[in-house]
Amino acid sequence: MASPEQQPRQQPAPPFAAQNPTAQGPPGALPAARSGAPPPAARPAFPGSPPAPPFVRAPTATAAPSAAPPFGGPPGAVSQQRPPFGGPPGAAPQQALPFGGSPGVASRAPTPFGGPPSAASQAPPLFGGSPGLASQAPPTLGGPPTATAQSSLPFGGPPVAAASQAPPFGGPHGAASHTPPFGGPTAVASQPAPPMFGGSRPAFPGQPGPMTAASPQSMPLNFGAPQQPPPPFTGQTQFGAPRPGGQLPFPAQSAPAQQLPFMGPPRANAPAFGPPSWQTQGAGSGAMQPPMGMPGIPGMQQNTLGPPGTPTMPYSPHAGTQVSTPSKIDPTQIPRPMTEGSVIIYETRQGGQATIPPAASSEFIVKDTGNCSPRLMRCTVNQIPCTGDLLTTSGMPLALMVQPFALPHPSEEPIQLVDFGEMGPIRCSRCKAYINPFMKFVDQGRHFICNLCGFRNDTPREYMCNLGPDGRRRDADDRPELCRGTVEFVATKEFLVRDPMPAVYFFLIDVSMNSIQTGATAAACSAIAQAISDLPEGPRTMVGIATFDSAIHFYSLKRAQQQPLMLIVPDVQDVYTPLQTDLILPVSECRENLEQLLESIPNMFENNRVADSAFGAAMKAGFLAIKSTGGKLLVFQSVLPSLGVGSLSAREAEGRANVTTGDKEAHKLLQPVDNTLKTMALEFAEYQVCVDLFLTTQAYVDIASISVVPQTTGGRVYYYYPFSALSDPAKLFNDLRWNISRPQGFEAVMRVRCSQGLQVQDYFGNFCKRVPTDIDLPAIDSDKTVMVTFKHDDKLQENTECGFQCALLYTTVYGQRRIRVINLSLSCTSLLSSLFRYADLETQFASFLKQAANGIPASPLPRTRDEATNTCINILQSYRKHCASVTSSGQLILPEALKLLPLYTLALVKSVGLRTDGRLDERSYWMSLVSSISVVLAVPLVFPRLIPIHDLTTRADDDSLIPSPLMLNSENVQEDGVYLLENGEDGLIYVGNMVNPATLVQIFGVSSLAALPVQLVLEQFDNELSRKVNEVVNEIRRQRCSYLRLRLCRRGEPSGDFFRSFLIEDKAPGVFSYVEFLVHVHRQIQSKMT
Amino acid sequence: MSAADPSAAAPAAAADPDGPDAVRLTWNAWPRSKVEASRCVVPLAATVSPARVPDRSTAAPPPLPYLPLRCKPPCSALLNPFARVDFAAKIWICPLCFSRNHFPPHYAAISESNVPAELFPQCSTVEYIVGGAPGAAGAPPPPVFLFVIDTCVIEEELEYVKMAMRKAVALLPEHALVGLVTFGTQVHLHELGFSDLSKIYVFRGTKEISKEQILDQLGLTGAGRSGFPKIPQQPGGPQVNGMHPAATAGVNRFLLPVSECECTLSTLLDELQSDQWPVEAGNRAMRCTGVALSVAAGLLGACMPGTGARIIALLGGPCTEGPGMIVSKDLSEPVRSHKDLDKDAAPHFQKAVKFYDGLAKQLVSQGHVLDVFASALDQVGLAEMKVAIERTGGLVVLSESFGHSVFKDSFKRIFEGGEQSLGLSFNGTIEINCSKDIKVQGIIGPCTSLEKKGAVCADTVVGQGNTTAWKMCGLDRNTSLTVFFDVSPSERSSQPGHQNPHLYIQFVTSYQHPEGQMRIRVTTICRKWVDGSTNTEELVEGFDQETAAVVLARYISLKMEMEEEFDATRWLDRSLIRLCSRFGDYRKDDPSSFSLHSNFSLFPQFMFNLRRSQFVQVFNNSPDETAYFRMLLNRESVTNSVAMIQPSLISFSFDSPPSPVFLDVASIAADRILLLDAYFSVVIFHGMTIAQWRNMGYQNQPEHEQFAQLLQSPHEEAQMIIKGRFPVPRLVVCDQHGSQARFLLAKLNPSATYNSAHDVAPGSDIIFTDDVSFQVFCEHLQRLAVQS
Repeated sequence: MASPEQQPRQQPAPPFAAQNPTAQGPPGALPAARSGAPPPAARPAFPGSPPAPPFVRAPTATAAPSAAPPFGGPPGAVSQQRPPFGGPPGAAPQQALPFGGSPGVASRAPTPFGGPPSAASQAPPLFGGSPGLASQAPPTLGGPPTATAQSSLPFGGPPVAAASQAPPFGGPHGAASHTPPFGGPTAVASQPAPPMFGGSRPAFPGQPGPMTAASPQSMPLNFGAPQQPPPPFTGQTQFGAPRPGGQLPFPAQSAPAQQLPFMGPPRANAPAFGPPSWQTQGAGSGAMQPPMGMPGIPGMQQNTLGPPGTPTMPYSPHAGTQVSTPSKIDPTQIPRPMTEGSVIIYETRQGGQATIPPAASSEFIVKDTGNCSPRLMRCTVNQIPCTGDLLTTSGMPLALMVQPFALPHPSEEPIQLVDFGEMGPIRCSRCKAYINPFMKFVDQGRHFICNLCGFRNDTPREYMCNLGPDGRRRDADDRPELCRGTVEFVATKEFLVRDPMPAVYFFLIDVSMNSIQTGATAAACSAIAQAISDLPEGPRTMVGIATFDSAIHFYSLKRAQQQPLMLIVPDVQDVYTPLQTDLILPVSECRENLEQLLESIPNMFENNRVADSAFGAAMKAGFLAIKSTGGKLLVFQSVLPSLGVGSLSAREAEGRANVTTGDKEAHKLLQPVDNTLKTMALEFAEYQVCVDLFLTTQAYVDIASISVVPQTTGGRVYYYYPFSALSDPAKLFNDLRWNISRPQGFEAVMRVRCSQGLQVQDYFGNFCKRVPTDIDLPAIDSDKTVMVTFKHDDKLQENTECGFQCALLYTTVYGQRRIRVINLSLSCTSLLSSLFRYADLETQFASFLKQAANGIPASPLPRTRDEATNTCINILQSYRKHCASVTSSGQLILPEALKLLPLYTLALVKSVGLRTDGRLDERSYWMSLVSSISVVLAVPLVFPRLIPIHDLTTRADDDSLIPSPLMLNSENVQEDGVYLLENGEDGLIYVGNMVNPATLVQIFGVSSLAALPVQLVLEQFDNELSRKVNEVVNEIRRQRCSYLRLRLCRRGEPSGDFFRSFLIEDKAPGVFSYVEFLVHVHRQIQSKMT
Repeated sequence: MSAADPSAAAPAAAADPDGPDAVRLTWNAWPRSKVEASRCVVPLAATVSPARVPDRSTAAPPPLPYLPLRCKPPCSALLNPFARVDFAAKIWICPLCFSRNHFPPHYAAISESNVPAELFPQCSTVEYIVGGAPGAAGAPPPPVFLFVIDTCVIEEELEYVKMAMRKAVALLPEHALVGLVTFGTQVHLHELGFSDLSKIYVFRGTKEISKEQILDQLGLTGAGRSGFPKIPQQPGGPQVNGMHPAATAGVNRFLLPVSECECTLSTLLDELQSDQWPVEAGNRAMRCTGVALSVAAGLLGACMPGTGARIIALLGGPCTEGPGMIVSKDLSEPVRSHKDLDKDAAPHFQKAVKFYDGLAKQLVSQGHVLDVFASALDQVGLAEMKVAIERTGGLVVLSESFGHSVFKDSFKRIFEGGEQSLGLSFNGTIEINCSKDIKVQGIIGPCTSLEKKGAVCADTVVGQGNTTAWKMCGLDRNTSLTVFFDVSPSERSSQPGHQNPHLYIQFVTSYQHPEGQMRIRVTTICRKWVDGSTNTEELVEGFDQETAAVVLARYISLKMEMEEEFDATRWLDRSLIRLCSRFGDYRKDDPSSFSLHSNFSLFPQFMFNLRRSQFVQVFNNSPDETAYFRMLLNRESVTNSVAMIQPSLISFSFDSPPSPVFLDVASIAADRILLLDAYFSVVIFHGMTIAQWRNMGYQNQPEHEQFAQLLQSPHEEAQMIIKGRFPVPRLVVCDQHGSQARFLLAKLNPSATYNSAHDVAPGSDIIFTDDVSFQVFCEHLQRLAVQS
């Protein structure tokens, strides 16, 4: 692999090696094309794409601190965000890993999720497996796939060079233009994976033949026989919606997409997920997206044509369907997600129009050219229907997924901060929308017209500027608020009802008998003790701590006396705080005391025989302690709250007892038992207290009831069931660490505004809503997503744009009050076909997922499942009826953009939440997880990724870090293999019964199946396979921002059945297999059509 | 008639006025009929000091190590020297009910020459030692002290408290159990038995909390937390709060022997801070005295039910929140005064009294004592707490500051042993048995009715009545009760011939002696019946004017508290007039012919001073002070109580040895030093000349040693008084015309006022008052007494 120094700076070489799927056209076209769209420095591939050092950067692109990348910048410099995946560069080496391996050792390792490259270069172990070993293993996180070479670094070049010269992602943005974005020339040849569809195109003519010929004749249901004749990519546009100007390269691609619904990979034997260079995406709806998503970057498209001769791994959706077995539906031919090969550079607007965002799961680098990054906010449809009827007809939802603190790609420009001084941000005087690039200045700039409400405002004198010949303000490009989709404003006094709150963290630990005996208390104490160092630095960070069983024990840490002071509040019906002050202190003043206390708590309560836990009262007490400021309440709870205010009963058992009569009412057990906790949570939210729950339990704890609190206060539930003192503490620590160190804000208020014609219908997520228009978020962090649904209250004009603006007023952890304004402006359309074409599958699916989760407690499960299925059927039927009516009814026609909808819907129906057999708590937890889940993680949650890990070392031809996922069916799970199945939450490691003992030794350090531990702690042993396994796991952890709960699954045990329940393509008792489901969907559509 | 010479009372004081029985009666000869009794004006009453340790001069028999014999029910009187014994038949006849009782077998050896101690004539009072302690076969239970400390005080005061506490802890016996509660805005119960860190249970001050809740919250209920029946008990046996395995561990957690927790205690005291809750400007500190006492009571109830224990509360201000609140925290609202109470303008008063009444009941049922040491310039709510203190027989001390010797020395006294010991006893019960025709109306004093109805209960009730047994959770050597009797002869007994010339009253007190064992003390007194209508002389002979004055003072204090718009002065005047009319010697309508028997001679003066005293003239004091004075009046011996009503005044001069002088302004002279003992305060008053000499330092010159001695001797005398008294009186040393002189002047008979200034002797003084002088009072009395 080439090192950066070797990279010719100005040599584009064949810059886009074969791996860029979206590129087409001769390589030579590249430079010209690129000039129009300056590729940012970060363009270089993200892990997993090219074999060449992915982050090769010109040595000259030195690390200018001022341009520090969002992920590595010093806190102050980069829009207040705490570097989510790593500390400030300098500090990184000392920083503990959020997702580090076992706490003791890994905690001193540097970058949590792959922090600043420079740091990473020194301290390798990231998602460490076993402490000792991890520290020796160089490349742990996010390294490029080829990283087998030296100590290839996550995001960095070789250690020394990168460190000394430039953090690859951290260079000044300008520098990028003269940097060869992608790997060196050597990469080209070595890349086995062909370009995505650009490259595949030539292949089509040859391949479709059999398919088109065979399928119509032999199949009763003609899946996927395209109406459109063979050269599918040329045919076009039934939808008639011409792509907006400047997109000529694409029509050819988008058309077949609609018409080839069931394209399988060209070769029956090919791994279902296509190119081995399967990437970071969880699921590949993204597969269809690129063609549409890249219109603005023609250069890239052309680029893929580079190696036209390697169509071996065509990008399946465009490969046409190939039905090899005429008599039956070939399971290998049906739509499955594909993965993206490389990083996409995405400009949010081009040519005055919104561009189509890349798949959420793909790896992309956003250039904010007017619209916000799709990470922050994306819409279920990328063109807005002009009328409500149109939307209703389509059956699709109209919703935004807003993730205001979404982690940017390391190479993205940070969000700019705008300070209007005393004046405050310019706003529309009628609808109070904030100034944005879509406000139109008229009358020589003296007035501006609000893009949302259409009101004509006077331009404040101080803000006057003449208009240029193009009608824009002359200063538009210099003012972030006029040219960027996302900006932050410094909040003025009007936005402050009080001084910005300090960052307050209050820890509440269950010390009841069970908690002590299971080791949960010790784990919590240890996690907290280690995580303290990750709290935001500075005098504004306050901490407090209390423990509880049947009473609440506060601790005053201030005392410089012989003994700390323990204050017990025994009244758990009506709690109070035992001190006015001293319960929370600046962390700098009490750190030693706190650490000492945390160390002694497990011993102190060693013989505690109190089985009761006054959870609700403890929360209330913690709340009272931080009520004056607000802050985060981190609660570690181990048993069902049995005492005091908000105590609960073992409803699960009651439900079981009443199983005969209770089945109909079973869903009620998923509703909170009463309003007590909700009322409490509303009070918490009012005082800006956010609750995060860490449930380290071994029994039913009624998550349905207690999750109300985090959900109302902007927190979340972490669930460790059954808690294992052996394997869970590492996750507990990492979860806690990530919880407090990720980018976040406090005392936030969010409102989404939209153009006239639409109105916000509802908000979904973890927040508290007191007035219909705003939502209150005591805390908001990078993992939280809010779904906003809209409805029409009027018509939208065609050929106009519909604007959305999300304004989030919040306080940074360093005590600054800011307003983050996120703008999105999308074209309006009155054509149904456009709606389908510009549908965003992942976003839509996230919406369905949330709606389904929302509906679970309200109705019996079968009905919820039917609703989910019907949503899918309705959309497909609408498409069939209105956009593909020409085809014969024997064919199931799927819109290209939504071609995976049936698969995902099936996955949803089989998910933990909708499955019949799960435990109540499991389902409640799943629901609570879904309520704030981001688009990126929504699909994997129900549609996990299955990776073989026994052969990691033998995959010679593959250079992505994570091997291609397998189709989720049991045919892919061999008994002589070891597999990892992950959904962002759990990592199930399936060990077949006939695994080579040598493999066992390598991965687990045991020589026989029988010796496998029940509770898995993945260690890193000194062998390559083990190293690779750890690499893979760590990479997944990084991608998911989640430590994964690793569990061993074995055939013939419940764990094996559990594992198999995730193989959603399989037939399970009472549930369809994938093929059957497609048949079912088709039948339903047919019956509706007639 | 003239004021009796004060020196006349002196000889009585020299001997033990209470006698070996420590019982004094208003009348030592009793009229037989109700009518006659009412004509006596002064009620038939006895003051009893049930735990009084007789002077060593009186040879008291040692406690008897066996159980007493009882008469058969319902009489149940104990065998006493007044019983008639038939040695031959081994039978004794109860003097109260005349029942015949056989001696039990172990008395078989009884004979005329071999009588048990309880039959010795001089053993009208005898003590028995009963078994060990209740429930404990071995060692007697240790004394228990639960300190309740107010932290809403300024640092300086808190330091005084700590100092006093350290001294107290050092004085406590090693095995004494100690607990600590501190409070301010909230209550902190310190778990002394927890060594890892300072562990404190915190209770909110605003919420009334029941005993059950407290126990439940402290995990002392043993059987897990009740009140949540919905929740099935988790497996794992009984639950205990905190970190101790056994349910019975409450004692070890909160109450520890001094030897084990001395170190913890001293750390705690060192680290004890003033209450940390902020006090807003214009507000009083939030102080939850009521809840603190509830918690303390609850804790003792759980750990030490039935065993003697004291809650010792050190209060530094008024309760401003929660139950027992006496004033709001807003400083603009003044603490209630007597005027407010009269006008019903004290919004918190009744509620607080009700709360303390409940607390009193709880403590009594547990057998525990509440002692209050209030040290504040403002009131702390003693008036409300009075019920709880008095019912439990608690000690009370009111002072201005924790640094004041009144507090410091008194506080120390409780823990001192030996000669200085207060003889603090616990768990007392007093029963009264009487001859037929005598009924008990009730008791005024530090006790509570046990509501044990019996034949001796009178229809009219005074104080704690309607019972034959009373509980005294705490009692000490000085504790004195006033028992009110009623004569209600049955028809049969009024028949002549059947009449027994003697009446018997037996007081049976069982209590936990300071040394731990349970004792029963039996006092049987015998007095004469008198046919009053014919035999006034015998009645007069049997009159005890000191006791009568004290009983009247107690009686009238009670009436003032219980009866609305009761005019005490008027009632006293009329009583005195009636008494004088009945027992005076005069010719009708001739005031000058009026004279009184020497047994009555001091009585008018007592009444005169009582009328002017703090017990009747309450408006000069705060309700707290009044309550304080009355509590002490009710519990002190007759001698001490007389001093409260009519202070004694002793003159020191070169001319004569120290001698009592009239409590009159005329006693002031420039060359005298006066020593006033008003019980609550002891005043040394230097005449002008003396003061001048002293200021010039003559006492330091060897040739004036005598002067130095003169200066010194009243101080010595004062120290003698102070030493023997609890609470320690306030010592005021002042000079004539000095500002502090008011402590003396207020007590003197205003025979010379600014109205009569012309005929004042040089060197004497005048009092600026419009009050009538004793002379005027007597003139009126004589006139009215002789009116027909």
